[in-house]
Amino acid sequence: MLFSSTLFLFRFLPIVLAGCFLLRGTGARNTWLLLASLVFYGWGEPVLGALMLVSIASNWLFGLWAARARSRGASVAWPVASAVAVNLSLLVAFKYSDWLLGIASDVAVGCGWAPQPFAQVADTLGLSPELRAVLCTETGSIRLPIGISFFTFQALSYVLDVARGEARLQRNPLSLGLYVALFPQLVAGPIVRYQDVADQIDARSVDLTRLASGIRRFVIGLGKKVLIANVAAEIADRVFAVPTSQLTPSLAWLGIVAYTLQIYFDFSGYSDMAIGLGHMFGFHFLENFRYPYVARSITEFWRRWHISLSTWFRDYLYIPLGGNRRGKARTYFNLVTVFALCGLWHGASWSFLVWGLYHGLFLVLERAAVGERLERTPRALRHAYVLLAVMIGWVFFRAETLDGALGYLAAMFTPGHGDARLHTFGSFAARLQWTALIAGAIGAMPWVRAIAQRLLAQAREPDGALPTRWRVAADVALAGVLLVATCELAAGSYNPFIYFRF
Amino acid sequence: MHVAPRTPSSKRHDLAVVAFFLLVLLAPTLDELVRERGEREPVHELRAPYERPAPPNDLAEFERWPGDWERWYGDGFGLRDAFLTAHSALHYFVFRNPPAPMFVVGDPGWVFYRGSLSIDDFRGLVRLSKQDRKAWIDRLEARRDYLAKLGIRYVFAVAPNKESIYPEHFPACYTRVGATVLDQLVRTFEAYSDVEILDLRPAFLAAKARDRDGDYLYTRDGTHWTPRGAFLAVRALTERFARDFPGAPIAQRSELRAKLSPGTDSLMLQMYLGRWFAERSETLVPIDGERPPVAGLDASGAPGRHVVYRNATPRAPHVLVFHDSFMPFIERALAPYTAELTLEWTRKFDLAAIAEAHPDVVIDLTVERQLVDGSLFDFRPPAVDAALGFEHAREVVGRWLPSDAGVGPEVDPAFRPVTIVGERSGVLRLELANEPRRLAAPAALTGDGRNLRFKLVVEAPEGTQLELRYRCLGSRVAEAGDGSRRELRRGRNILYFDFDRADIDGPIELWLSGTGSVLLRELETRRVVDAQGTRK
Repeated sequence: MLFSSTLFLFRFLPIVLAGCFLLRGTGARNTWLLLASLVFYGWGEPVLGALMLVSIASNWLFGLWAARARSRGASVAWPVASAVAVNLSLLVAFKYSDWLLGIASDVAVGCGWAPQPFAQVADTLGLSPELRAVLCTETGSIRLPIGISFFTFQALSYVLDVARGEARLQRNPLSLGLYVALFPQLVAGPIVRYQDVADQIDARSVDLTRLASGIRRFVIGLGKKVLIANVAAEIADRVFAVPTSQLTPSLAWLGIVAYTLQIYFDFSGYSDMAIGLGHMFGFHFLENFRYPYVARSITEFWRRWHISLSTWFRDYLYIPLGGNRRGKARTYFNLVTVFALCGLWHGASWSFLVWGLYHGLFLVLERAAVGERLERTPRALRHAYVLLAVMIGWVFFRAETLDGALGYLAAMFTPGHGDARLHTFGSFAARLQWTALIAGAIGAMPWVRAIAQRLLAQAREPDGALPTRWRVAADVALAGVLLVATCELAAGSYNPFIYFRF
Repeated sequence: MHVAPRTPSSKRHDLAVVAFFLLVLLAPTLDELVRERGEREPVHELRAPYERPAPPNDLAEFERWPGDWERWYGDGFGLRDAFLTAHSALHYFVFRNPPAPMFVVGDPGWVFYRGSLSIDDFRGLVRLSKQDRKAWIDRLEARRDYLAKLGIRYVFAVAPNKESIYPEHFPACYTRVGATVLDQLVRTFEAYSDVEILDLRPAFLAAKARDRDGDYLYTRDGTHWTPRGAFLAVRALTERFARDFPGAPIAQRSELRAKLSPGTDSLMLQMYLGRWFAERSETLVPIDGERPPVAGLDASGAPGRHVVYRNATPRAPHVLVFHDSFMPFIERALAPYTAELTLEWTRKFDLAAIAEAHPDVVIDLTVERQLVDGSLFDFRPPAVDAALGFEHAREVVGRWLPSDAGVGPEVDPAFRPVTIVGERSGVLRLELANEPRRLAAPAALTGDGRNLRFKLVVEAPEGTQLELRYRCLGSRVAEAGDGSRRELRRGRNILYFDFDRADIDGPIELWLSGTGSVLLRELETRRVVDAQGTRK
């Protein structure tokens, strides 16, 4: 189930909210929220949803094991190693096995070892038709359970924090289940650290102010996703569908600008909705995005982009690898390794790996030599550098194949590339699309927020409160966003057909 | 988000925010309690709503169930129609943007249909290779040659896309950079084939000069012909008939009139904008009264539709048309200019339909946008023997239709309860049993009896089985039958039975047994002739 769906908005959310406000006591509310979260997840993954239950149960046991070892002064290496092995095995099996088998197949065929490629998991394993229908896609590739990357990392971080003594043990499996499965952040993050919500699981409250602020944040996220990201996606999808040989530089740039806005508003919109829903249910999740496109270096970009993921990799991979404490060369190696894996976390393909390595390379360069020069460069140029580097990176992220990405980059940077007669700008972006792009470009920068805050600061009344008209205006605007976004969601079921009858 | 000290005023404000949010969330559920689901379902989208899924029985169904349920919910949630109207109005009036990719918004009031690759075709981006062009020649010549062996003429007629006739009302961003597929085909066939494509564009473009404000050849908010445009098509087709069948009448405008159509092809209505744009939908009909079809009266306006009009127009040909959605707008006007007009809404070159209709002319009438996918018209002619086999038993001995009151088959009382469906039609409902029951063919269907082949058109529900044997009670009693029980498809079934004897000289009885019930819609007897028309 998606937040941006009528089923979620008109059925699921009202029922879950009603339950939470009718039930008394944190225990009952936790049980209700856990049930709701399992329904939420099971709706999208009726059968493979069982994987999340396996993850919850196994990590609860690993947590107990690690805490027990720690309390006895014994080594936590075994419980940690076991937790890492089980969690990563799940992830590798469902997310990477098809890709890895494909590579192995290519190598085997290339070396003449195997005449038949064995890229397709179902064929390789000889699954029964029933099991195949559940586990595999129609092409025989293994199905990727929704949100597995998020809940696996989240559950693993719990065991690691317990083993390190940074988080207290959760003896109640239902409470741990709620932490792992909590539906607002389950599908698209942010990746919540157990220590950040442990106290809130045990005790929390929601008052009118918090509920209203959660609603406002949810509506902002919904608007970002539905009104900007989805419209930008229309442009990006259509441009990226054009054969790269036909792309003109201007069209290629239009496509990548649209994608740059799409991915930010899509991802940060989901994070906003998650944070807003968290508020509605009494949870406080950390921010996941802080205007990443205003960064003045790639290093800063990663402090602003998907913060919960970059901090996860920092705390559980970069620092354990030695961080920057073992000399320059090892630091650079650690950075590249972390970003290569970060790229693969986003998806099992060479394009994602290249995207991760590409960012890792920029981080190494900035740390090694470019960083100091960058500091002396005018701010505007630094912004331009980051935007350019990030957009080039998004080409690898978005293109279906590496060849496709390289062809797209060639179109972006080769004057006279493609045939301008074949694809006119107007056929890709009309009034609606331009409106969304301009709104996105403005909304991706903190200017509006800064100007608004300055105006609001000047307009505060003597008691420090905002003038009513300001608050009403802001909320009326949000009400408009909610109504328009709801209409757009409703249009998801709009599926006209021309040849049925007259 | 602002953070401010809490005051009674801000609390009231927060309360209003929460109340409004809950109202938006709950309003659809309230609507579901007040209005019937049918009022919100996708009637304007010209599709059947999704059905509520039954509880799952196995793992695979369990996996699919949430998605099926969500689709069902999506077709009928509260205020769906209001939300969709608001969505379309916002897109259309504010952004001049279509609410769904299927539409193209042109000049004010003009909407176009975006078929598969139709915009690329309009712009001239679909280039036919040499192989493509040869394939087109092969497939149309194969059709023409196949029909010629049966003594049937072939016409390939193309209804222009609306944007081909009114490009000035199409969005300017879609610039034209090359020839359309139809342009390329017309040139190809003129140069390399004697199959003639009946291209209606020249007639339409010439008539367009007489357009007046609000009076066009195509509806502005639809995809099809207005009565003016429909007349051009009828005229072109009847002129073509007259060329091959001297004396066949040619349609005159004074013989036809526009008639308000109960249905509509309005894309605006499909876009939930009908309250703002209500263009009349009209069809072209004969001025002296229209004659209803003799078969297919209840046929829906959708692919698979089968309709037959029968007239006594002298010297006019018997015509079979394989068509798409453009035909319903001209069929009543065209019918009087034919002896019999059989319509099959299909893209398939249906040999059984040709055998069944036994026409003088077969027309492929297609809208221009379908030419983009040449494979839709692929046709591999059957071997000569097969071509002259049962389906092509060309000489009709006799035919019974439910409308032929009083001369139907004699039905064994054991079929009871035999029911007659429909007051006018007289379709017979036969309850089958495992005991063979007699259905005596009318005398007019037995002829002089030589190598007769029977055709039964029956409608059956799912799971009906039928076994048929037949006897001739002449000087020598003869019996035949394949002895096997046939599984009937749901819906219309055409069954052929071959009584391949040269000495049939008496009444013929059919013996039916089976399970379930069937509606008998048609019974026909034919005699086999070979390629030269000689009786076998």
